[in-house]
Amino acid sequence: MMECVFDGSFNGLMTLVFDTWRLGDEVTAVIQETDAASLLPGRHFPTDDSKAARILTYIGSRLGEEFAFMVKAAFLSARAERFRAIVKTIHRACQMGPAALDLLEDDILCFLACHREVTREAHRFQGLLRFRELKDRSLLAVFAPRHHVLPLILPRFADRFPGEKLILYDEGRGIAGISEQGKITLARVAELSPQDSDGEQELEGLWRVFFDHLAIKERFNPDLQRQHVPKYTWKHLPEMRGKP
Amino acid sequence: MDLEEKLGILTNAAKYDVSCASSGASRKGAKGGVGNAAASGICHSWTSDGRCVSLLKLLYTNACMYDCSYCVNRRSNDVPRASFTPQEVAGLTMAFYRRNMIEGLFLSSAVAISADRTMERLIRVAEILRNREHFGGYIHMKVIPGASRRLVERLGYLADRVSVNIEFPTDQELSLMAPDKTPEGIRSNMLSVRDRKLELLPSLFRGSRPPAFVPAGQSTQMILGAGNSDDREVLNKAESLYQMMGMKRVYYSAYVPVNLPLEEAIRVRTPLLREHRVYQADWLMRFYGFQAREILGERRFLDQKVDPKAAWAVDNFHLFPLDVNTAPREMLLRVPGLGPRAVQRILQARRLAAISYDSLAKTGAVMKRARHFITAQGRRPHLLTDDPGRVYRALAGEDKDAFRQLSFLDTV
Repeated sequence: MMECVFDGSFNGLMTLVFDTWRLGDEVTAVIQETDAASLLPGRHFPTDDSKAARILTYIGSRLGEEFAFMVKAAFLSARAERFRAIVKTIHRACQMGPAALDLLEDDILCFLACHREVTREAHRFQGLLRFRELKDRSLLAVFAPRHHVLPLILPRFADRFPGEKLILYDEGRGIAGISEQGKITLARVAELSPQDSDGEQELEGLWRVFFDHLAIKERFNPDLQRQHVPKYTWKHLPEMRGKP
Repeated sequence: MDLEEKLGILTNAAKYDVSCASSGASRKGAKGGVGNAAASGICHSWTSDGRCVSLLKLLYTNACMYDCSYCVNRRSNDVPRASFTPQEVAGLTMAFYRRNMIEGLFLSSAVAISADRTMERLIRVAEILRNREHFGGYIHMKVIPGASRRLVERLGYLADRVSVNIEFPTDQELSLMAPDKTPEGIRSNMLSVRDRKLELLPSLFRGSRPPAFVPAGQSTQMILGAGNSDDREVLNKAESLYQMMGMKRVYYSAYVPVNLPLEEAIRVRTPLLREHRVYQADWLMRFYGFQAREILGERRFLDQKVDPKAAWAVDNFHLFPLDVNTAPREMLLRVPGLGPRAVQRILQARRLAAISYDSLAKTGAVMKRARHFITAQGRRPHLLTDDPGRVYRALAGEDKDAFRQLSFLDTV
């Protein structure tokens, strides 16, 4: 029985993977240290970047780049059990190679579920993200994803709009991602006060005209619509604003 | 007429075309350009009928010379008419694309003056987008039935996907419902695309890179329930289109009686369940290795109560149960409740260790359905019925437990 505490960073988690190497099954819980909970019982693992780098090199070369990507994606999940699942899965994969992912064990299934949910939501927001043009012609998108998908989708939008200045703002986490002239940066931003460019209202109007005319009323099926466009995304979609 | 009004009319006129996919083409964003294409396709919204919005789906014009009985835009209908200019369509596409509202453009048109004249307008739009705006997003263009080969080929070098709608599974039905279209014209349009793609294949193998020609392939659409054809004719036609024309997708659209007076139209039910079953059968042909004649067996129409895979499994009950630890992939794919993902996981997991009956649910199998057709390590729930009639009722949701009566002589 051992509760492991780390600082919540990715390198911190990788350090923990490194340090608990030989403890294996004794690890029962992996918890993120918050300010209030710094007095948590359990063993603390201070972040060590060099240990984290060694683990990442090991994963990349022995378990494959795809596995390394899955670890990074699973880390972005909002599931409470994500840390434990990642630690356990890496330990298992170090024992028996990437085939560990085929085991029907709960920690590994949870790891796969984290990865699947994150990549799925990233794909969803590739479609459901909406930009609006600001006074300086840059494009701003505000959204509130469940998982921290911003680092995954920002490069894809940078590829799509290479000539634009893009700002993606995760309202719930207060993190903005900026892509400008091939450079990508993430920053904490408490509040935004954007000013739309002049034609923006009319353009949104045209989009709503298109959207509303497209539905076939004989096939009316709002449940199916909600399944694909869950309510938590409506606030930031011009075509859904003000709809019941 | 202002742009907003035109947009309303020409969206309304385009909405019955069901293909919306933006998949099949993959392109990186280019410097100095706008846009890329993702192989998997991306949906940007869903309308209140639950259909995905991926492309800006418009008619270039709805002023039609033809008088097809099923179509809302036919010549004899009294509906408001409008036409875009190429600049207007290109401008809307770029403005919506930049705000990530769409994945690209889907442009169709009524036949104005002649098939070729209409095609030239569509090509003009694609040229503005690709050459002037350097647009790298997705373009799906309709081929106007009967357009000349030369124009179809020109369009193919600009668009990711082209499609010409076959509308009905038999030539007779098409001639009846759409007297101005000819089956030969539609076939020759499909052949122009198929043949040019085949001509370009050898140079791909030689390692040179010819300019992309319809990289996402061609698709088509059939209307269900407007004429008299049955599912057998529909599925046989679809199968031959996949095999002979190299079709990427065949879409099916439950007929909405747009041209009946309202009091009659409300009595005609849009055959949504039939459409759903036909799509399921289409999936079985494309991803599960089924042939059209297997799916239908002796039927003319697909079973309405259970999906076609379940219907097939009950018809062929003597082939089951399968042992998940030894059955080949092709057979596992035919088990109701097992999809490609569950099958993949079973194949991977059983390489490491034999799969127990209790761990099957973890593979993603829907055990409520699959349990009638599989065993694991020789085991399955003891009292499960082995009467195909009851299995059918269980799959149709009419028989809740599907356990056989416990008998005196059973050893539990």
